[in-house]
Amino acid sequence: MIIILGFDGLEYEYVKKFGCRNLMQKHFGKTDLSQFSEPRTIVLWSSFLTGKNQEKRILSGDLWTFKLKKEETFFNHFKNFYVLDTPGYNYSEDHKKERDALRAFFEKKGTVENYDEVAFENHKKIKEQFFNALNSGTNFDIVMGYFGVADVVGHLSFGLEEKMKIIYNELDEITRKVQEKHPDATILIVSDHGMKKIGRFGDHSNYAFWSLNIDKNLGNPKTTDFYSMIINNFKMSS
Amino acid sequence: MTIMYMPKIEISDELYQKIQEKIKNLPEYKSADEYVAKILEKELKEKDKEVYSQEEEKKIKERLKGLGYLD
Repeated sequence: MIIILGFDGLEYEYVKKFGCRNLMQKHFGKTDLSQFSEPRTIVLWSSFLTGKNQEKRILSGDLWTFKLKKEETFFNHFKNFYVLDTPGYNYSEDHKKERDALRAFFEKKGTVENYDEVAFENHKKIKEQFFNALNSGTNFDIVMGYFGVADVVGHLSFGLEEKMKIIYNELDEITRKVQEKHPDATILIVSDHGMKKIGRFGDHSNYAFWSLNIDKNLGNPKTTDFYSMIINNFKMSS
Repeated sequence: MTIMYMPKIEISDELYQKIQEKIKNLPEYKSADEYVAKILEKELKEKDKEVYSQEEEKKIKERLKGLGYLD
């Protein structure tokens, strides 16, 4: 089984700085995003899922409602698969609440605490659904769980390291539980982009994070390179 | 003649003992005073960052618009 943990906005430097041992698997590194004009979440995840740069296609329509067909993604190469809340595929409408709370903050109609509350509520729900599916006993060939909390909270708080450390520890703990429950699975951790500070706030950085629990050093791959690695179960020359 | 005023802050004996124990394994701190000062400095620096400038707000708003999060 392949398990993909998609952690939106997970920053390579914070993973190292906070000593997130479970996120730093056998091999880990940075992903090259130079093929994109901007590190936009929906574009990056859609490109990851299809192995093709989807920027032009997505920007010609509505960004947040864009949806790929199963046939376009690597899931089509697997018989039994489970995908949770992944941007560009089955991204939940619940995330609109996060964008509304972000707007409310800048319009001085809401606080950071209101915003964080929406993010944590979504995270709690997603985490429960993910572990229910993963531990259901179903014989999946591939499972992908998407967790947006580091990116969402990061937009208003990436510069507050003590606060971000709590979020990173939470993602590290999710990874630990997955590794412990499924020691024989190939576990790929990916982010769409990292983050950089603007004072207390957080902007998207122009590289992403990857981490793999098997002995394959992927070097500095592009977002679109993962598609063929995944459908070939990482059986490529290292 | 200049008279230096050195403020002193009271802490409990119990807490002081805990700090003494802690710094035994932290050679970078020569005394409990130095350790406490460093921890407080770090805490206050973090709090300062919670306040943001108009320039930072403007910059992040522009970036979030560019990334599609804000209209």
